Amino acid sequence: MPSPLMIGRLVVTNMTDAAFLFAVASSLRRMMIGFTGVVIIGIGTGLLLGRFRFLDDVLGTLAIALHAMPGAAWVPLAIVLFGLNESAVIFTVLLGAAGIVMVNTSSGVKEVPPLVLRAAKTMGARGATLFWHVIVPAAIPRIVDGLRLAWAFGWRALMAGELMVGSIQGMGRLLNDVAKQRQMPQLLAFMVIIATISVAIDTLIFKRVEKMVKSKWGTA
Amino acid sequence: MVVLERVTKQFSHNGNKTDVVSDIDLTIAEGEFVCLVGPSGCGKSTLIYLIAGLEKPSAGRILIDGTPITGPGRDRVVVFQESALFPWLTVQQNVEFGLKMAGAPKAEQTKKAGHYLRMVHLSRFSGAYPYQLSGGMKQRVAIARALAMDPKILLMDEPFAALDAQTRHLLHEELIEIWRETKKTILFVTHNVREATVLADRVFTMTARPGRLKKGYAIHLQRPRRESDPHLVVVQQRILLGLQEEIAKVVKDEGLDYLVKKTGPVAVGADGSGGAR
Ligand SMILES: Nc1ncnc2c1ncn2[C@@H]1O[C@H](COP(=O)(O)OP(=O)(O)O)[C@@H](O)[C@H]1O
Ligand SMILES: [Mg+2]
Repeated sequence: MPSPLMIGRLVVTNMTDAAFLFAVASSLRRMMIGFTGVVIIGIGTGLLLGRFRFLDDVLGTLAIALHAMPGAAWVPLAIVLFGLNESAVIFTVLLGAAGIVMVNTSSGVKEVPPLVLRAAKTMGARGATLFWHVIVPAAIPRIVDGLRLAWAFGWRALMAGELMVGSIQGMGRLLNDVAKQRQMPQLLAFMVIIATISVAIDTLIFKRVEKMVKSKWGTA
Repeated sequence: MVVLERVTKQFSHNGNKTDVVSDIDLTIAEGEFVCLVGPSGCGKSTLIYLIAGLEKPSAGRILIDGTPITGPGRDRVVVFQESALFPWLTVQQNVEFGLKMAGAPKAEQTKKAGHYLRMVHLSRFSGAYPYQLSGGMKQRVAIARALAMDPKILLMDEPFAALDAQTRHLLHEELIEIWRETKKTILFVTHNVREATVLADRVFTMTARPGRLKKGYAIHLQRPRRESDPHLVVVQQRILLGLQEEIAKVVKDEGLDYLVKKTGPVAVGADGSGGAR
């Protein structure tokens, strides 16, 4: 077993290695593209499902099924659809993380506190105005919750996609390569870095936003 | 003028329909301050929602200046028990909300919101968010928000119930001041008998299950009033005596009557909340 000190050293060496950083950047870029899609499609669909009862009846179950599917399970389909390339990985991130955002957004919309709705209605808000000025802002804490979870799900889907697609530049391929060469210390160092990036982004961005929103909306 | 004609509201609970409020006849004159007191769950909020147009009566009609209401209207605004302020808007934006919905020009929104925030002494907090305010301040913002729409009728649903006694006292004075200045018609619902007698021209008691109007008490005492004014204390006692029966009924329905058997009649606090909540 390699010592923690040794792994620590390897982590530092990697972080200053241009080739390694390039691989990390490629993975992060894919994640960003996928996550942007998650934000747009997840929130967009979630708002539609929350707003229109008939859509929710038809597609609501589909969103829940999408959310129930483990991200890795999308990879084979992604490969069949797109081939062994970057698009397949992005597709995996998108489908692995969009479901939770849809489900959270639509329940946020449906579960606006009755008191807030009553207050808005007595002040003359109705229809689309009520939706955009009251219901959507009231749902923001739930949407933020969904995005935070989606980040974690998306990150897992990204790794699954990169590991299985294998041939493209990125952290997944690095893991595959060192595993084939049985380089245990380097493998562990990569894994530490992968976990750290995920935790860092969660703490620096998502946790902060969530905390801010919760204290402001009084849902903490 | 607000007129309720034989207003009844039923809710169904797994198939059984029960009257939550039943056969309410009530006329409130222009500029009058009317309080409604009754135990928890007797249908006070339901009645407020009916007049606000948020609920439709199962039977009977509600008329404002002779016209039956068909839904929420800018002539009637509700101040709710808990702060129903919008947490994502600043104090100023909350007060402007109704005007914005009405399509008022931005300059007018700013001006009116400023005016009513001054009236509730919160100008300094116009840029704050609701979570930064105390409970009393939130309710003052809610009052300013309601007044900014310049409604004829202010419907207040236990607006001060969650506040401590001192804050409540201050807000009573402030509300009376506002009422005098703006000449609004106010229907104020509370389970606190003392509060009702300090504020109202007329106090009505409500029965529980079904909620009916029980008795009216006119209070011709100059304002500002002190809760402990001997004239008021007499009225308070009379009202409480009338409410005993209703509270006992609630206690029994809620399966708390074994307590009463053990300890004798339910002690009714002077705030009229009784033992049961
Ligand atoms: N939408 C509703 N559906 C079914 N029952 C309701 C509804 N709203 C109120 N009730 C019932 O009506 C009764 C009176 O409620 P409410 O008007 O809130 O009383 P209060 O404000 O006097 O405490 C309660 O027993 C409550 O459970
Ligand atoms: Mg109530």
